Amino acid sequence: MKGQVKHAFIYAILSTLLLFVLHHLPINHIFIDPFSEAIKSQDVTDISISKLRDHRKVKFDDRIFIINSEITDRALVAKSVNQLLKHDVSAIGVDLLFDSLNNNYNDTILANSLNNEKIVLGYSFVEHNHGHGHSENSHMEIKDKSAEIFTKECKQGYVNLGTQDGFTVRTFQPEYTDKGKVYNSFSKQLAQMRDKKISNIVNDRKNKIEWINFRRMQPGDVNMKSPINKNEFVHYQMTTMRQFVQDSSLYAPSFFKDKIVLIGFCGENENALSMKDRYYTSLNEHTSGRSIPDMHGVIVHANIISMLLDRDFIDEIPEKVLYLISFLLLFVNYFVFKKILAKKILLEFWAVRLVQIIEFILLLGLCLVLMSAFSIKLGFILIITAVIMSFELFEFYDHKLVNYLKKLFYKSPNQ
Amino acid sequence: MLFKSFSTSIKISFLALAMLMASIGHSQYYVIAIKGKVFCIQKELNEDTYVQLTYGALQANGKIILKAGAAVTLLNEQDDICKLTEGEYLLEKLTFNSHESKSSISKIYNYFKSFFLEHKATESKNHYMNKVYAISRGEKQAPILDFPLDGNISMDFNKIPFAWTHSCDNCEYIFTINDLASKEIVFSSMTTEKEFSLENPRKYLSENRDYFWSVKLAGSEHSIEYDNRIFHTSPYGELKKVLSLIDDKIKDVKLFENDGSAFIYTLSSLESQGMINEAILFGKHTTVDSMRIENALLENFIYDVVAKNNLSF
Repeated sequence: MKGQVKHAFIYAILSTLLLFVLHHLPINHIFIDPFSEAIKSQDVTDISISKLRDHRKVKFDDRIFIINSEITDRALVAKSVNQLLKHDVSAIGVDLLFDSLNNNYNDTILANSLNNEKIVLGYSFVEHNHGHGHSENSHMEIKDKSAEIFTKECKQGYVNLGTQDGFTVRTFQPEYTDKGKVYNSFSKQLAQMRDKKISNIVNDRKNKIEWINFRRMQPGDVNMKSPINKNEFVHYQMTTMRQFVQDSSLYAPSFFKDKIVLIGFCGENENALSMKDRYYTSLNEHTSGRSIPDMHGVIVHANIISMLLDRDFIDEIPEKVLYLISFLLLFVNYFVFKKILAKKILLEFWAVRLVQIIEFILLLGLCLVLMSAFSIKLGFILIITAVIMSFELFEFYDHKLVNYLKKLFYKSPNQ
Repeated sequence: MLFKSFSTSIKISFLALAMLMASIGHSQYYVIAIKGKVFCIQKELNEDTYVQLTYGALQANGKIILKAGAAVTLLNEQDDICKLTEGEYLLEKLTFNSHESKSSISKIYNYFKSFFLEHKATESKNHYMNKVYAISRGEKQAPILDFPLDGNISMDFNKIPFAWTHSCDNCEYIFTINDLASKEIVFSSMTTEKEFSLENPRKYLSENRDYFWSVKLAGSEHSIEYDNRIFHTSPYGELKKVLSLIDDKIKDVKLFENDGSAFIYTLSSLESQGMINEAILFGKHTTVDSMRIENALLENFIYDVVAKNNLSF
C-alpha cells in the first residue's frame, strides 16, 4: 500500500507537470482541450449564467434608468440632459459619440448641456501590446472621442469591454493605467459617482480585469424573444428619448433622485431589432451554435454598474488551486484504476470510462453550481483535462514508466 | 483646360500602349488599380517611350516608376496579383502572388495546420482584450449622395440609377428630383433601399435642363441638413454620336475589344469630354466577354474619378 501511495504521488506529480507544460504551450489545445475546442467561444460560465440562474429572482434595478437615444439629434440630446439635470440624479452617462462638429446652434446648446460635472461621456481607445495578452508594456491610444467643445467640464470614461473572440463580452477592465496616469472605465466612473467606496473596493480586489457578472437582461419589447429574453424579464427601466422629453414633466420630483441615467443606443426605434452596438454576452439563451447578439453596449454598462454597486463580483479560483485539484484527481484516480484493473472484472475498460464520465458530470455540476449560486468561477478546462487524460497517463506510467523508475529508485508497487 | 490636356495625354499614351500590345505577342499584365503618380517606360524598337500609366493592358517589357505615395496593382494572365509601392520596377522581374492556394489538398493541409495554431481559451482572463467599443453615434445623419455626380446625364439611357450611402438598418427614404429653375418636384418616390432606378427618364426629365436630386429620411422630425446634387440633361442621341466617334477611333488604331483596352479608352474619352456620369453609366451598361477585367477597370475608373475630383462616392 505504501508503495502504491508513492507511485500514485509520482504519477500525479508527473501528470500535473505534463498538464502545466501543455497548458502553457503556445499551440492550439485541441488535443489536450477537446471540450473547449468542441464548444469554441463558449464558456461554462455562460451555461451557469444563462441556464441555471433564476432570472425571476434577480431584483429590478431601480438605481439605473436607461434612455434609448434611438437615432436622434444633438438638440434632443441637449434637451434630455437639461431635463435630467433639473432632477437630483447621481450621474448621467452618455454612451454616444459627438466626434464631429456641425458648427451650428445645436453644437452650442449640446456643449452647454454636457459641460456639467454630473455628465460622463464615453470614449474608446485602442490597446497596443508588446507581446501576447495583457502586459505591463501595453499602452492606450484614443480611438474615438467626442469633440473638445463637449468635454471641457464633464467627466469621461472609456467604453472598451473585454473580448476573447471579438464579439463576445465577458470581462471589463475597471481602470487602465498608462504612463502613470489612471483612466476610469465608463461604468466605474458612473458607479463611483453614486457610491464613493467603489474605487477602494475595486482597488482592494487587485484584479486588473474583472469578469462581468451578468444578471439583468436586455429590456425593450422587441427583445422579448429567444435568444435574447424569451421569458420577458424586465430588470431595467428603459424609455426612448423622444418619449422621455415628451413625458419629462409627468415624472414625480423624487423619481430620478440618486439615479444613474444612461443614455445610449438600443435600436433605431422601439420596434427595431438593431444589431448596431450589440454584443454576445453570457446571458445569451443559445449557449452554443449560431445565435444573434443579445445585448446592447449600454445595457452591458448597466450590468457592470449594478455589479459594482452590489459588490456582486465573480471570484475566480486561482490557477494554483486548479493544479492542486488536478493533482488530487489524478492521485485518487490512480487507486481507482488500480482497483478496477486488479479485479479483472468484465469490460474493465468500460468501467474505467464510466468512472471518468461520472467524474466529468460531477465536476461540471460543481463548476455550474459554484458559478450560478455563489458567483465563484472554477476553471473547468484544466481539471477536466486531468480527468480525460488520467487513464491514458496511468497506463503509460504503470506499463512503461514504472519499470524504468523501479530500476532507478523503487521496488515494484505490487511488492 | 488642364484636365483636358491631361486626358488627351492619357489617351495618346494609351494608344501607344495599345498599338505596342497589338504588335508583339508578349505576356501581358493588366493594371487594375492606380494611386498617385505612376509612369511607365516601355521599350519600342530600341526607343524608350515614357508615359503616364493608365488602366488596362500592359506589356511585360519595360519599367514602372512610382512616385512618392503612389501604388499600383497589376494582374497577370494567371490572375495572380502584384502590388507595388514607391520605387522603380522592371516589369519582367515582378513577382506575382496567387490570391489563394488553388489546390484542395493544400487547403485541407492549411485547415489541419490551423489546429496547431494558438487558440485563445475562454477561461483565461489574459486572453481578453479591450477590443469591444461599446459606444455608438446615435445622431441621425443625412444620407450621402453617391451617384450621379454633379454634371451631365445623357437621356440615351433607359434607366438612370441613383445611389446613396446611409448608416441605418431600417430607414425609409424619400427620393426627389426637382427642377432647378422652378424648384418644383418632377419626380418623387419612397424606398427602403439605398438606391433608386429611374426608369424611362425621358418621361419625367426634359432635355437640356438643370435638375437637382436629394434623399430625405421619411418621418424625420429632426433638423437635418440634407445635401443635394445638380445635374444637366443632355439631349437624346448625343451620347450615341460621341460613342460612335470613339468607336471609329478604336477601329482606326485596331484596338481589341475584348481585352479591356477599348473599354478603358471609351471611359477615358468620355471623361475627357466632361461626361463622367455617362462614362460610369456606359461602364455599367456594357456587357463584354471578359467581365471580370471590365468590372475591375470600371471600379478603378470610378475610384480614380472620385479621387481626382475630391468627391465622396
